[in-house]
Amino acid sequence: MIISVNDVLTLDDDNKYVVVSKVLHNDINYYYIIELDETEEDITDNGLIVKDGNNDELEVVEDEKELEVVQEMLAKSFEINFGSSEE
Amino acid sequence: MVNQDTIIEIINNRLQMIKLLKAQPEPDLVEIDSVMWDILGDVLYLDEEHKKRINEIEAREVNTLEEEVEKRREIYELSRTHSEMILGLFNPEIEEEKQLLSLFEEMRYDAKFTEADYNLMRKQVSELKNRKEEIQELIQSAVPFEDMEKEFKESYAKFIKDNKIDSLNIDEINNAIISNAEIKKINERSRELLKTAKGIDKKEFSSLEKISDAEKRYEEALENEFLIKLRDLMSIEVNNYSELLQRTKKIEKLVLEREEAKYGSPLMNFGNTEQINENYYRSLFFMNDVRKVEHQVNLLPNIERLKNEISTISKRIEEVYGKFNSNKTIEEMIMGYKEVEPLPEKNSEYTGPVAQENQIVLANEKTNENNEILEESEKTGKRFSYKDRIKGKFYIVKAKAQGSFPVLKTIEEKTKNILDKIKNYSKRKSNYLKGKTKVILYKAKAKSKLISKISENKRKIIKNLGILAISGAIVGSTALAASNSQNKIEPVNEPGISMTIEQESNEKNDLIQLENDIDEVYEEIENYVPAIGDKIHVNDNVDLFRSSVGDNNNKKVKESDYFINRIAIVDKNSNKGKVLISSTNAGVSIDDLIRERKLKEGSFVAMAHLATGINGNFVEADSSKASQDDYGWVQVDENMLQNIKILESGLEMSEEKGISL
Repeated sequence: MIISVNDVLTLDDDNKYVVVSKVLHNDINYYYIIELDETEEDITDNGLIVKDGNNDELEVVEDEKELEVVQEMLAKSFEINFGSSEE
Repeated sequence: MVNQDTIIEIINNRLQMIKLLKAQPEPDLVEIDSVMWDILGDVLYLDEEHKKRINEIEAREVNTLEEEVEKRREIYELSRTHSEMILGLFNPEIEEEKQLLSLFEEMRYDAKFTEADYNLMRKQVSELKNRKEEIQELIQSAVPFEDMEKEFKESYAKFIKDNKIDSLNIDEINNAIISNAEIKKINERSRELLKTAKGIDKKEFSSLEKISDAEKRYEEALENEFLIKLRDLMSIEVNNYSELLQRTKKIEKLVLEREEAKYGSPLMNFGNTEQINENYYRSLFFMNDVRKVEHQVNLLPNIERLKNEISTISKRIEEVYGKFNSNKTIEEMIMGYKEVEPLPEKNSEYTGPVAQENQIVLANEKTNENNEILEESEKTGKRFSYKDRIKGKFYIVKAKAQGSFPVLKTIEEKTKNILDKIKNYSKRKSNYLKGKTKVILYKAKAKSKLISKISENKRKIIKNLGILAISGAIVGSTALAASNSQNKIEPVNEPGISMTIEQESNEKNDLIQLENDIDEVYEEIENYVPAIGDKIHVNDNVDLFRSSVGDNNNKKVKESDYFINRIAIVDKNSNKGKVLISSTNAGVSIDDLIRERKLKEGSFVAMAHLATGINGNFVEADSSKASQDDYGWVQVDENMLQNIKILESGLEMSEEKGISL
């Protein structure tokens, strides 16, 4: 499944997440996804950094070094998609 | 079979009798104890009857997932009312009833499990249902190309006729454009000059304020030119949906360009329809044509996507719930949920969605794996491991093992049943709720309102993303709170962002709490090694020794909370009970002593010394003399471990002090 920014994903924890940032690093797609609230029209504070797993699975990134690298990239990608946070 | 109401009445009468027995000048404790055992028997009888009813429901064969959901609802309702009925019998304010109540506390968990079962199943089935219905709607909306093209042609013919396009002459139009364009250009320039001109009488130029006839003719010519181009596009012959889509897109482009040329920009670009221009609805009409064709072109991929999602959800259901009691496969059950009807006769030419069967891949391997796990739990359930003591269950087991209670088999089965549920639940938990891998069930596009919210909260999102790198992949609720407190990062409180802790469903919180409780008990009991400083609750099934070498006077420990203040390892083979190593240092565990002496398993007996503590606090003992709060020794064996509850760990003391034997 191809996942893009602005996709809303329903995961098996029964929550919906919106993809706000996506980067390719070492041939792996990483995403920053944010949980939606009950109205599904607003975001919550709950976010996850995940990467492509097997089939339609997403793996939660936990490795500190990996997180450090992709976090910066995801932040940049987010600003490209939605504009600078300073705006 | 005795009526349930009668049993309840008997229990109530027995409880009343206990009150009277206690109120006697010299209460007969043996008789009180005996009545309590009778009540236990009564409750277990009720429980057994309840279990039979549950088994009957569980054994009921189902044909659809909807029936399976209903089955689980019935089980939940039954478990809930049963636990409420039993637990409601006892008053926790009365000591004897409190003791009885504690034996059946796990019934609350029983009801919770069944509730969780029901809710999770219901949600999954609802997801399936939605997709099945979506597929059904897509199939129903399928239109053969020829029908669609016929509809378009009729619509276009009407448009051409209404706008009298066929009567237009392209040469005349071109002439009108050329001849009036120059006047329009001059007028536009003059209007600009008029704005800045000085020393003139503006009335002299009042004609410039109006749109001249030449300009009107120019606009009319442009519109007619557009209509002719539109007619030419409408006349393009197409042979399939792909070509039809291209044609409708060309038309869409043309009408939007025309609207933009006339009004600066198509109205829908702004999303503001308060001041609608005269071309707006025309643009909308042709844009809608594109959507109609796109819908048809995307039918197959969309149906395929929904099928894949159904397959994913089905696999999850199988993984989480194992096999159902049905002679149908899960695929048949899903199909049976709402049969997919064949396409209407008129669509018979359309070889899209109906040509393919729904392909639901069964996760057989997982099912087998689940079966194996269940077998394992059965094995462990047969012996009374530490896990068997969860929520006080062991006390009953121990009592009937001593022969004072007649229904040994019943309790064993009951215990196993609960254990299986807990184990199954833990399995589900790792697969389902807390997995580090998340499965995508469904994908859709974010609505514009949501995208706006993201844009509005850019700063907060970036900040949370930064926190993620510190707190480890998951931000929000407790993870966010923890990282904030540790790293001094203040969350930005901006309007429009909702805090989700409160919004999480009670059900999910209950489940997480429940599984945490269970895990805690498991971990605590499985890994427990007595250490000095531990606070434990010991019941009266444990033998009490006067010394570490095992002097016993057939005494039992008085049930209470104790601290372990000494530990000793005694030579098993020595007749006199030789102490190999001992310690009074806080934080030192039995394992530490065994490692220190490199003792072989089976060659020693471990002993722990209990102390009452002083003012509720642990006091480190003196190795050379007795302590004020010394109570006695207990042998650290399976019996002891099965008759204690760990209240506080003393191991932390070793971390503070460094281990010293």
